[in-house]
Formats: sequence, C-alpha cells, structure tokens
Amino acid sequence: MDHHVLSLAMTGSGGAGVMTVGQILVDAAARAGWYGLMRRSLGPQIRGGESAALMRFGHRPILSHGDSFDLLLAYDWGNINRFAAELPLRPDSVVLFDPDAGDVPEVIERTDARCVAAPLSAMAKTEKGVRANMVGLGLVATALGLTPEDLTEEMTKALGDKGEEILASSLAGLKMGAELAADLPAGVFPNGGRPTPAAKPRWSITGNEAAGLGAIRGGIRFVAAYPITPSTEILEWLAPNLAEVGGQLVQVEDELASVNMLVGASFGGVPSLTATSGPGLSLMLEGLGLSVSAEVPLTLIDVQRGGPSTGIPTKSEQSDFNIAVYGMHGDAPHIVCAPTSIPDCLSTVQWAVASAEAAQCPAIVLSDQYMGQSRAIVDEPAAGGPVANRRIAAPEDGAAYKRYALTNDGVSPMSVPGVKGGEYTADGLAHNERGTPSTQASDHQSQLDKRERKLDILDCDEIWAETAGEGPIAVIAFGSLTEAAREAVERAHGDARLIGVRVILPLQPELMAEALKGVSKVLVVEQNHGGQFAKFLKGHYALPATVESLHRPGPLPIRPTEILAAITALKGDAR
Amino acid sequence: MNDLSHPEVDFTDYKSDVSPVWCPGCGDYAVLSAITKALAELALPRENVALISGIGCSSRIAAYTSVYGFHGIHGRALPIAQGLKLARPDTTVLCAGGDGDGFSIGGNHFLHACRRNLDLTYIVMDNAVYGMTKGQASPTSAADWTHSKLTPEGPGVPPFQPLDIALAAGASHVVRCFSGKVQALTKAIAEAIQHPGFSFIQVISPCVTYRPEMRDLKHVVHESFTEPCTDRREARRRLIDDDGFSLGTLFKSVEPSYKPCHQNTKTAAELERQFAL
Amino acid sequence: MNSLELFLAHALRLEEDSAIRYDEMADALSVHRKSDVARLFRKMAHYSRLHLADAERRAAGLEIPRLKAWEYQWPGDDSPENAPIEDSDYAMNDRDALLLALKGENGAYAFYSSVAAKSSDPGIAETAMEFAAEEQGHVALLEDWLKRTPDTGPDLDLDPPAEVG
Repeated sequence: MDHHVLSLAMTGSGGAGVMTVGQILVDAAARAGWYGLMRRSLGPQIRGGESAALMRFGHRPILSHGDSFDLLLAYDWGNINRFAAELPLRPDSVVLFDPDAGDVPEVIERTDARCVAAPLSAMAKTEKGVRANMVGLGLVATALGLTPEDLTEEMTKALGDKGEEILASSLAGLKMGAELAADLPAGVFPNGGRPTPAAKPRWSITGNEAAGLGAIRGGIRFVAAYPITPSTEILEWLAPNLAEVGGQLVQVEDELASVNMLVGASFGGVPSLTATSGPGLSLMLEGLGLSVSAEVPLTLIDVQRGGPSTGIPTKSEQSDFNIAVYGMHGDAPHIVCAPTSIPDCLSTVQWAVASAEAAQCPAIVLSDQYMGQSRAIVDEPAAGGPVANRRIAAPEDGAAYKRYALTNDGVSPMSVPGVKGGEYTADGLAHNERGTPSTQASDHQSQLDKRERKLDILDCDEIWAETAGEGPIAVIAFGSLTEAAREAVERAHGDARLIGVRVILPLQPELMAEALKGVSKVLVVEQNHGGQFAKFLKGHYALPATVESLHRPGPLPIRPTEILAAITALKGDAR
Repeated sequence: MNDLSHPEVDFTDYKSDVSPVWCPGCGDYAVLSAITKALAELALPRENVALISGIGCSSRIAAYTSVYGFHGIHGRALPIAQGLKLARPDTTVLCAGGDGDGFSIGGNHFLHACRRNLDLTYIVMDNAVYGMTKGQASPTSAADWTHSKLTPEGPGVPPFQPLDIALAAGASHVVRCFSGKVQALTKAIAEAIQHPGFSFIQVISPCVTYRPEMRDLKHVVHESFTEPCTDRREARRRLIDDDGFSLGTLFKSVEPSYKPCHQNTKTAAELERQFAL
Repeated sequence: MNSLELFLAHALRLEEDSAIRYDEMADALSVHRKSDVARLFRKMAHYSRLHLADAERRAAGLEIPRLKAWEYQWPGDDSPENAPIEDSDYAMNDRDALLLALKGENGAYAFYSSVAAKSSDPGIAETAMEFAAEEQGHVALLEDWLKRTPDTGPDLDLDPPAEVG
C-alpha cells in the first residue's frame, strides 16, 4: 500500500518565499483532490535565514512525515549543512537545483540522488517581474498533474493584495515552470498522475489552528496569552475567532500572569485556556498546582519544542513529557493528553477542555511543533463532541456551603460569584471541606483522596488511544509520532500493532491491558533524549518482559522506516 | 434615617467565622475592619464581591471575609483578580496582600495591572517586613534595616516606592492610608471601590512582632494629600517631598481601562467554514 | 452633638466597635497561652455589650440617623473605646492588658464626658453623663485591679519570633 504519491521538499533562504509557494501548492493540490501534508523547517532567524517546506501528497489522508523525499527543489543552498539531515534523500530521489545558486553541495552529492539543473533564475530573468519561486512552483506542480491554471486561484488568494502586475508576472512564472518541466530529460521527473476529485468535503488546517478550534468547540471563552514559539499561532488564531463567538483573549505580561488569570476567570465560571511551550510550562507549574488544590479547571496546550531551557524553539521534540506528568510539587492529580495527529488536535483539545471542566482540575495537552505548525488536508472532522459542563452548586439556604465537600465521586459542586449563599474562599493551602485552611492530617488525606478519585469520572474508553493492527509486537507512541508508528505498523504486515496513547493521565490500566492482549514485546517510540515515555510506561503499566525504547531528541523526526527496523529487530530478538 | 440597631447591612455580616492567624497588635485587623465596613456602607451583596489575595500574613484576609474569596499563591493575586474581573465584569473585585507579595515576587503584575487600569481595588498592607517567614527585609524595608538574620547588614538597596511606581505605571487612583486611622481607611476603600479603574491603596500597617518600632508610627504619619490631584504630573511633583508617611488620596482621574473585544456574531460552526476547501 | 438621636448613634457604634475589638484581642491572645489576658478582654467585651444593650434600649422608638463609617465625630482616629491595636502584644502580661483596657475605657469616659460638657441639650447631656459615669465605673474597677496586679516585668519568651530590637 503506497503511503504517498509524492514527497517533496523545497528549500530556500530568506526572500525565496518557500513557505508561501509551498502553501499555494498544498492548497491547489487539495482543491484538485490530493490529500497532503506540509511541515516547516525554519532556522533561528527572525526573518529570512534557511527555511524548508516539507510536503507529502497522496490519494489518502497523510498525517505522517514519511521516510525521505522523492523530490527536492533547491532555490538555493543557504545554510544547507545545518538542516540537510532533515531532508533525507535516496539514490533514486531527484534534486532540482538552480545552477545560479552555485554548485551542488557535498552534503547533497553524498546522497547519490540524481541532481538535475533547473535554470529557474535564468528563466525568470527573461521576462520583467518574474521571480524564480513561481517558476519553481510551476515546475514541481506538474509532478502532481497540476497546470498553471490549477494554481491560479490559490496564487491569487495568496498574492491578490500585491497588485495586478505581480499577479500577472507570477502567472507568467508558473507557465515558464511548466515549460521547463516539459523540457527536463525523460524519466527524471516523478509523475504522480492526476488525483481523484474529493467525494466528501475536506479541510486545510494546521495543528495549531485545529487546537484553537477544539478550544472553542469545547466551550473555552477566556484565553490569557503570552507569545512563545511554536505555540503562538494557536493564540493568534484564537484572538479574532474567540471574540467572534463572544469570548475574549487578553495578552498578558508573562506566563505567571497567564496561568493565574485563567485561574481567576475560571473561578468566575468561565472555561479558560492558554497555549505555551516548554519554558512557559515551566513558569506555569505553580499556577497549575493552584488549579489542582483550589479545584479550578483550566486547560493548557503545550506545543513542545527542543529543550531544556530555551532549547531549539523552532524545532520539534517530545521532551516535556516528564514535566507535564510529574512537574507539579506535591501530589497533584491532573489530566495529560496528547493529540495523535493534526486533525486530532481539534478533538483532543476539545476533550481536554470538557474533561478539565468535569473533573475541576487542570488538563495539559501535549502537542508538538511537528503537528502544531504543519498543515494537512483532511476529511472534514465530525461535528459535535464533548463540551464544558461544570457541576455548579445550588447552595441551600441556611446550610453552610461546602465547596470541597467529600462527595462519592470526588467532584464537589462549584459555586461561582453571583450565586447567593455559595460564598467561599478558594485556597491553595490545604483545607477542609469548607475551604478553611487546615493542617489537620485527616483533612489533608481526605482532600487528596477526593482529588485523585474524581478523575475516575472521565470516560476515556473511546478516546484513550489510537489503535491499529493485531500483531504480537505493540508499538506504543504518543503525539506526532503516532502516525509515523502507524505507517511502520502497516508496513510490518501483521507483525505489529499500534497503541498511540492519547490519554496519558489519568492512567488507564484496564484499557492498556486489553490493548496488550496477545502482545509479547513492546516497542516504545518517542522524540526525546531520555526515553521519558518508556520509563513512564514501565513504571505505571504491566508490560511484557521485553520492552525496547526507540528514542531520539529533535530536530530529526523518527522515521517510519526506523520504527519498522526496530520492529524487525525485536521480532528476531529471542528474549 | 434608619433604625441603627437593625441596620440594613451590618459590617459584621461581611466577616467570616474564621479566626485570624495574625499576631496581637497587627495593623491588619484594622484593615479587615475597614474593608468590611466599606462593603457595608456600599451595601454590596456578598455574592457579588470577591476578595483575592496572595500569600503572606496579610493575604490571609480573604478567608476572614464572607464574600467570595481566593487565597492563591505568592505574588499572583493581581493576575487572578484581573482574570476574574475580565471574565466576570459584574463582580466587584478587591485584591489584597502584603508588600512582599505585591512589590517583590508580584512586582511585574503590579506594573501591568496599573497599566491595564481594570476596575478593581488593590490594597497593599505594607509593614516593610516578611512576617510569615519570620522577619526578613521586604522591598519597602530601609537599606540599613539590620534586624533580619538573612541580611544582617541590611538589605543594602533603597526601598521600593509604591506610589511613584503606581503613578508612573498608570494607576488611576492612588492612595496612602495608615491602619491606625480606621475611619479614613474605610472611606478610602469605599471610594476606591467606587472609582472606575485601578485603585491602589498603600496601607501602612504595622508589624509589631518583627518591627516593634512601628508602634510609634501614629506619631509619624501626617495628612498631606488633603485633596486628590487630577493631574498625573502634579501628583508626581507632590511625591518629591514625600517622606513615605504622607497620607491621603494622591491622585484620582477617570481614565480608559483595558477592554477586550467581544463581538459574539458567529457560532463555532460558522467559524469552521474558514477551513473548508 | 445637637440631637439625642445623633449622640445615641455614636454610642451604639462606640460600644459595638469596642466589643468587637476586645473580642479580637481575646482571640488573638488565646493562641499565645494568655488565657488570663484573654479572659480579661472577654470580660471587657461583655461590659461593652451590656452598655450597647443599654444604648439600644434608649434608642428604641427613636429615629437614629444612619451615619457612614467615616462620618462619626470621634475625637481621635478610631472609635474612642477601642483599645489601641498596636499596644497589644503576644508577650503582654496581665498588667499590660489592664493598662490597655484602661486606655479604652478612659477613651470612652473622655468622649462621653466631653459630650456631656459641651452639649446645650439637657437631654443629651444627661444621657452622656450617665454613660460617662458607667465608663468611670469601669475605669475605677480596672484601676483597682491594677493595684492588685504586680508588675511581673516583661514576659519571658524562650521561643521568640526572631531576634528583634
């Protein structure tokens, strides 16, 4: 089964317009009926610098980054040594390069890929105003069976505000590219044929946009925002869109303010959320602990990047796993979940919001840069899904309201300002049922018990994991590696099964045991240096004796072929 | 004219049944009394008022009132208060705490709360010492205050200037009171609650346990800001000669508050159309 | 004070404030192993409540003006019978507590007798005089008690909050 028809990378330093060109190509391809995925690889520069649009197209939804690139279009070679490792090529890959940008660097030659000169700049110069990036776009679009006409609509959308002249010269550039494709030596250029027109409606969406939409669908109406790469797009998308549905987003002075503003707004009864990345999560931990103790629900999306400290802000990693699970001081039961794909960012964030509200505790959603900043063409997600529905108190006259009443399921109906007779003081100090600070052992014990107990109300059966296959080797992954693992499991032809864990906390021992029935060996796959997820699974779940850990820090994603190799090795392992 | 023996609203209704942990002699008792009296004067329904505090001796105050309260974490009272006010503008929000909570660990929030100028009242009980951790120098302690084991030669840095900073950062109502003058404090709190913007009240509130010399402050404080300035530059000029013990309303001006945009024109389903191909 | 109603409004406030203040001090000191001192303050609160009840009886049927908390015409910064907060101390001994209560009762006595002396309304003067006499009784009681309470010096605290001073 082919996982894709064409994988394509476009590189170019500042000014090449690689991201815009990639976006036009993906959208035009989608309109023609292709499924697609576009990731971004960016350097550290504020503007310009090296950048690459990494794309994959096919006849079925594509959510995994795949193994390597069939085609590389290099507008130039700026800083190629810094990120060539992110562009794996095979001997049968084709590299189209602009000879005006200099010789093919050694790091590319060494891949044995077939390098073909495409005189983009030279052609562009033949007509006034034409730019090389459009020539390149017209060229590679032919590999997907797209003509300049197919690209015109999306190009107009992207460049329409730049004026007629630019549009006209861009269209001329596309045509030159198509001509150039026809002139290329036969057989060097992949031809994916034509797509099948879409039968059902499709969306073009990034993980960060999907996360923002999930927040709104779940009922979030207050967001406190402090910008941080690579989560900022969630906040930027929410700013106008949240206002459209009557909510509000406020930009605040720091992450300490954002998490505590959520606590205040949620104390007021309004479902609240923020998005951040590792450094922000570190700063927010104390506030999350307050959310646990005071039982004020909130949702936090962590779009992970390389860490520790400032790390690699523009590159993906899954190394915030430990801090999300274990970060708070004290015993602090909370929800941790991870979307398994770009469209899943929508449903997982939505579930997290509804779950935080139901259990009156914080929920951390572990997204990552791969998912957050990548765009996918997906089938229109189903409407509906869970929404915030907090258990609100209806205090009885005369009876002292017990905000932290020891109920059977641990969830205590919450009063909010405006409710007469429900006045109480929320507290981060250990407290009794009424919320009065208490150092008494029995109060501490019973409140800790109830906070742990209440997470059992969450219905995780449907959502807890993404599973596929029935083989004896279970590949357990989370986050954006789930789809790479799925691809590997499919290629393993019955040797392996996928468990892409979506609900990390609360633990789901029964569901895990069910998923592991018939499994003799486990392969845990994750994008970090320490194997954090594997250690967590070994510590908290009954796993078979043989557990292998495949882990690597960012920025190089773990590829399906590597996972497949690990499955094969594990299969042959006599342990 | 009402029958005072059965007043419509009695200030004691705003007190909870929780006994303060404060030391005998603490100025914060007077602040609690003033807050409850101010609320009673304004006859605000208890369920429509919230008192948000951080951590420290004075921050315990939230639990001592019978309105909605939040005793949060150290330094973060203002973000919690502002989050609540933004989400629930119908609620009267008071925020209270100490000088360490507000000016040191929470200093950044203080600046930005002044800038945002939301309609809330921030009361800082300033005793120039960390009482809960047993007597360390605070941001308002004098540079040569040598009575803490942590800084035996004094903190060595000049004290934080709350009024100057509030003014510079954009607070629209700036007041200094003394806990020993309960009537004036009560009036100031009531006015602050009614002021449509960020009201900051620095209350000099003695810690008789760690700063016993503060018992004598009643002879040191003086009414100097008799009429509030409505001009920010003029208010700053007034502070040039301030010895830190001038009492009264320094500055009061109705100025724009931060307002989030609400449109409420679409449903979530309508928003989703932007993603459709 | 130009009306009995206004005077009674002050008396009601003064006595209630004083009772609350004494109770607060009693609460605060009882956690410092000062049960004798706490008991004394409770007793003073009780006297204030008795006096409050008396003022309420006299106010019955009258239209008592409702003053704002800051509109009371006190001679000082606080309600006159309020024992000064800052004179309270966790290490105070019985004698210190008596002296503190004496300040409160003297404050009330001074207030009532000043109203009695200054008022041109015989009704107000008479009532104020009676209140003053009652406070004077409390003062005498406390002074007598003070005579029987030796100065034991500063209370020895083996676990001081910090090296202060």
